[in-house]
Amino acid sequence: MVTLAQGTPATETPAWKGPVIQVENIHKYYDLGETKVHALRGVSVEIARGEFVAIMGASGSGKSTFMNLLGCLDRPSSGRYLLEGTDVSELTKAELALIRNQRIGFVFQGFNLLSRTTALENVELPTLYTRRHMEAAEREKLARESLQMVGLGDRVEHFPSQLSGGQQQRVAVARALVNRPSILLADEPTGNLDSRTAVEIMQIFQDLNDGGLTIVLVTHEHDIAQFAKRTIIFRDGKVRKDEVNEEQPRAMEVLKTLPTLEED
Amino acid sequence: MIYLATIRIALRALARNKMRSALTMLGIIIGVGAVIAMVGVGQGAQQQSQQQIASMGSNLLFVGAGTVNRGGMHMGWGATKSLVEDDLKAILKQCPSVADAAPGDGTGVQVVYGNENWSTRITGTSPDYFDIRNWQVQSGSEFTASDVESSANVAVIGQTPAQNLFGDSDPVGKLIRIKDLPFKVIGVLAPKGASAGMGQDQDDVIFAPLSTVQKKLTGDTWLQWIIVSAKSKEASYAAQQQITDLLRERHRIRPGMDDDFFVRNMADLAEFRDAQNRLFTLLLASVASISLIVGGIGIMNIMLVSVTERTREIGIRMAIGATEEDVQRQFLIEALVLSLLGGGVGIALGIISSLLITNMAGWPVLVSPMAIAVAALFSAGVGIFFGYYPARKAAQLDPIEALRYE
Repeated sequence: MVTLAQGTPATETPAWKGPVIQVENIHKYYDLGETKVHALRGVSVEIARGEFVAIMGASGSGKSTFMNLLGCLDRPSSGRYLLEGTDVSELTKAELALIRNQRIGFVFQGFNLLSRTTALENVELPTLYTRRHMEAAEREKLARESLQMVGLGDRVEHFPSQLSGGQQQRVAVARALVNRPSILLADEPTGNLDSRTAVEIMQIFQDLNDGGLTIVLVTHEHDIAQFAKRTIIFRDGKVRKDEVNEEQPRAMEVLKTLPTLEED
Repeated sequence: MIYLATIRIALRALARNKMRSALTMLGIIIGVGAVIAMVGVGQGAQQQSQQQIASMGSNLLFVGAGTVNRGGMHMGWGATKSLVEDDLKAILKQCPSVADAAPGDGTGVQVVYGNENWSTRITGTSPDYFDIRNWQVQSGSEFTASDVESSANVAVIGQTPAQNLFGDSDPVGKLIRIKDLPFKVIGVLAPKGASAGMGQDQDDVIFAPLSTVQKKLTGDTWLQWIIVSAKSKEASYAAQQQITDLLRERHRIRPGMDDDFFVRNMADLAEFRDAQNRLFTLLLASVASISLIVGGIGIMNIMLVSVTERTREIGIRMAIGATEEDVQRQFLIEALVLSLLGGGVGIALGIISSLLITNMAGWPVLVSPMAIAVAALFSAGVGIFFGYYPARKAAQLDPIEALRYE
């Protein structure tokens, strides 16, 4: 169990001291009319606070289904999922939406920013759904802080189309962080990026993780997975391998070995 | 999520497709504009009709010779020869609720003055007629009881023949020819305008003493009608009963037989015209409402397109914590903003076109605040009604599917 000595910049001091994620024997079926897909066949995983987990597996291995469940976008067919001690399999859709808003930050492969909406407004978006009144100034302050965390203090008034892929993904990470979630879920966050930019994003993840943020990352690239502290490999809807990476390279060090874009 | 932010989001989403939003709004603009203008036309007609009936005097009764068309208002007077001047005298003497009465007998004639001629109707009556109708002469004077006594060839003419025969010059004192007989114009009547409901030109008339018309023009010894004023509006129903009873007795009509005359009460007429105008207004409003509904369907169509186009956006919003209610509210408010903006412009358009109708067609158009309020409410209702289904559809999207949507 990882206990954090100092307060974290990315999360508020948590009341829950147990595992952030407890998944107990989860099954997920999809009923596609004639065929029935058994996407998850009894998965049990426990993730402690401050962990940085990479989830790997071939397509169809169930890793995306697992991420959707972790992200409270979907509910398991059977089994229990406790997020910070709360059994989310029992919650209503509206309650799940609030959990997604407050405790989970999403980063997607395709960035999923709203076009024709500035970077700052994109980052502010989750603060619109907090179910409590927030002044516009407060929302903007939170958004600017998040953008600082991902190293995008300037260019906040730009539209996504005016930003590079790496910058867009930073905006997406900042958006995921704006409500100070307990976990950051990233689904192939580097899939659309060149290798150098991918490592830059991993550097941000490592920095955030150093600050105490729990991160779960789905990827199929070993180069990316190596930056995580733990790797879980899925196959045929089951956990095939679950191991701790003893040594992780620092993304910042790796970057120094990579040629910069200017030199290309 | 706070409403102000939602409205801002809606406005921005609409601004993204300006042409599309404008065209969608156009449906509502035309609908609301049409409703306001059409209800305005209807209510204007109603008000005008009420004013005309009030100006004629709501205590008036018409006694016509002949039978009433069942259910109709047809005043086909002169169909029988049984109504005579003695009836008039009896009405004045024996009906306590009657204040005054005047006879009427007339025919269509060609009137000639110099090179000009005009086809109109000449009516023989007594000087009391002008008092009963509360009709003043604009210039000259009315004919007198002695003119009636002596069957003088004098005429009081309405505005329409005056203008058509004399143009700008003063007709008083001039000689006109009716059926080759010379008549001296002694007065010109004040304008009355078109009659209530029927739209007949009330000014297209010529009056002469009854005896002159009967002896020299129609050859009738009977009356086509008698106009009666009751002592008050309330007394007009009593007067109607008294006249009916009296005339049945005088004309020896046995119980169970149909009258050979009819008594028409102006209060009834007012009521009938009111009902007619309400129907007219309702008809116009319902035709206009159809365009409002078509406008609403336009909103629904565009909102459905918008929901499909923005499936991914909906997925993103749901993933970061928007509930079904949030998404539904967002699209509902967007539809509402669309319909209310359209409604606002439509109200302006309705008022402008009402003014245009008044100016160009000369119809009185009454734009009531009530019609505007109803139109505003209606357009909001259209937005909610036609926006609900697309909004519901958006809210029920599965976030996982929506995020995967290309």
